Amino acid sequence: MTVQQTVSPLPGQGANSPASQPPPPQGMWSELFSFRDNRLGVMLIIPSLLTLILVQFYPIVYNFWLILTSEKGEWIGLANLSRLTRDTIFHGALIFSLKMGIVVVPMCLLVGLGLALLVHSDYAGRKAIWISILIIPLMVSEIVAGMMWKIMYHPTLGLVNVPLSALGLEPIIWLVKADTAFIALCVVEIWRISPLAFLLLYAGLNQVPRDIYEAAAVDGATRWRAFWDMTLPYIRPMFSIATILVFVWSTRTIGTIAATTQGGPGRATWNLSWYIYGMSFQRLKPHYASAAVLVMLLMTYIAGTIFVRYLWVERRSR
Amino acid sequence: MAEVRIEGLTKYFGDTCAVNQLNLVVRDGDLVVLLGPSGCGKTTTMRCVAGLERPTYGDIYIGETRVNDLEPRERDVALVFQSYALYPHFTAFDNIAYPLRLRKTPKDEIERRVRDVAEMLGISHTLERPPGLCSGGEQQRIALGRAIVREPVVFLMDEPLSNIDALLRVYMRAEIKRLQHELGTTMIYVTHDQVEGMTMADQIAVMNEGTLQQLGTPSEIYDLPANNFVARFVGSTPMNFIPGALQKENGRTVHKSDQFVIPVSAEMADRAAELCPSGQCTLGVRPEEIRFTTDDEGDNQARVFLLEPLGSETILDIEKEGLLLKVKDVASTQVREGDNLSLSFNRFHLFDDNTGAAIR
Repeated sequence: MTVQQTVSPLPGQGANSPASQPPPPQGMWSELFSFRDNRLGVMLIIPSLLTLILVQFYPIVYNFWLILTSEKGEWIGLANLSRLTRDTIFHGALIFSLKMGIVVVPMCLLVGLGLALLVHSDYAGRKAIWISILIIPLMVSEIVAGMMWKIMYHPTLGLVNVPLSALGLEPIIWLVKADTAFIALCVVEIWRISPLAFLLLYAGLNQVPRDIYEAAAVDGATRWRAFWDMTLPYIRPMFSIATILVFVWSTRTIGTIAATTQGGPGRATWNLSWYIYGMSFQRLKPHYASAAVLVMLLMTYIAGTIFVRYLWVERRSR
Repeated sequence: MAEVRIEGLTKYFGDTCAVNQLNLVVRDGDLVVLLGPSGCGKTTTMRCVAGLERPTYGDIYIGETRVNDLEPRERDVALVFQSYALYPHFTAFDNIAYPLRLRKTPKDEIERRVRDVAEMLGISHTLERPPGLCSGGEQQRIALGRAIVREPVVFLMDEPLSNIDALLRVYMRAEIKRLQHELGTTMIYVTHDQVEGMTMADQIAVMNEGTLQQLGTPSEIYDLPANNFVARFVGSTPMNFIPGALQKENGRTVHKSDQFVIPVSAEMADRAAELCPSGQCTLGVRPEEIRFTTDDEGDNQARVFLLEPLGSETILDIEKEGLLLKVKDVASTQVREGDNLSLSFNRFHLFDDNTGAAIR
């Protein structure tokens, strides 16, 4: 009889050799459920996951079904989409949305960053007060903001025309001409959305450690140089989040248009949201409007991807 | 390379006086350690030299230039922060290269100098990594590299070794001193660790509560402390203090306390009579300056209540009537806990109880 001798490894010797390592865990799910803590975590996530499916995934899938069928419920394939490519009103609305994004997004980020730097600086005394004042526009609903600005733009009563009259110039009837209406809407949007950028960028600024500015100063950087080399790279992730949110907010806006121009003069201030709203609830063509929804979805998705790709550079923590 | 002269430096933060009328000259090429407990004003002093704080009163000269009104970047000093303050979004290479880039150094020269410095500090392998992926010791050396690479006129170090582990600290201590000797650059080194101060410094400036207590070489600071604060602060096993008073006994002066009667030399007695007429003074004696015999007779008897073996030596904790003394003995000590020792005091200092100043 042969005696198989098993030599138990010395402590600290055999235990670390690769042969005696326990096998790696099998897949994500087994690991996820292997601990009591994780099980609780998964259970806590499930309600939000269900909500997400209900209010996000289901509508998107339903939207596809709407696109592929006609108002009468017949299967029409991609007819709604191809019709969209020939729809000049839709083109106008799409271009208007993009134009607005191009003006509003950079302006909001600039204004937001400027305000954030001011409030973050040593000169701003009671920061909490400044923040509460500056985020008031965020708390005003879109419709109310729109109505308020409509009064501001009023040719005779409005505040906006007061300085013009004081200079002896003709008052501008802002919302009646296409160009001025576009500018007027952009201003409302910048007023309404830049506090969001401010809030995000201010939070970002607070994360920049103070000592790296001191190090940069000793290393020979001017304040301006330190801003480019330290502040901007550091708040880049926040900047990309702000860019995405501001873009989404500005392109999807509908309340402001409803309260001020109603899409007018003519169809000069139709944006995508207004087009979709008009198509579905005024012309009662929800299936056709769904195709426009898809375009809007894609636009946001593409823009978001670009912003994340080119702005977001992951900051490794120390 | 330059001398640093601090004249009457005073710095207030609100009503708090962080530095009080500090005068200090750091000779060209010297390594001066500012030593003191937390909040003693040493870091503030250094930040004033760097230009990160503005002095409330007083002048700072680097070389012949009064730098009070110069921006940090105009002073040509390099600072290593306690937190390292590395740029987390740069790689180690870019961290070290940054001061050179700001000076518009040609690209190939930057490349060469950064690689040289990295080689010298043994961090060549980390250059492509961001500091977040480097170990504490590597981060520390990256910070050091950033300071060295631009060859400044003055190095300022703000407790650069306090965040790394003990073993590495001992190694880096010698490394920094070696670097400073090789480069010959004036260095101001701030620390609260008196061992660091003793081992590295050409001159130590001991500070407390914003004022300079003593400036001297490590051996001066250790052997001739100017006052009881310096005496207490310096020395890895702290000095023993025996409160008491000077008295005449049988025609000679003794320091008499509740526990001991210690004869004082005639010379010291004369000085004490002059400097401290009240005679109220505390006797300070370093643990290695107490001699003992194990016989049960003799003047100053005391009992050993604890042995602290340190490997290279043993500390005897001795107690007499509420007074604790620490005495150094060899590692292979014959003394056991509970033994009675007869003590004699070899070299000691007397500190005036009113002023705390040494009587010398």
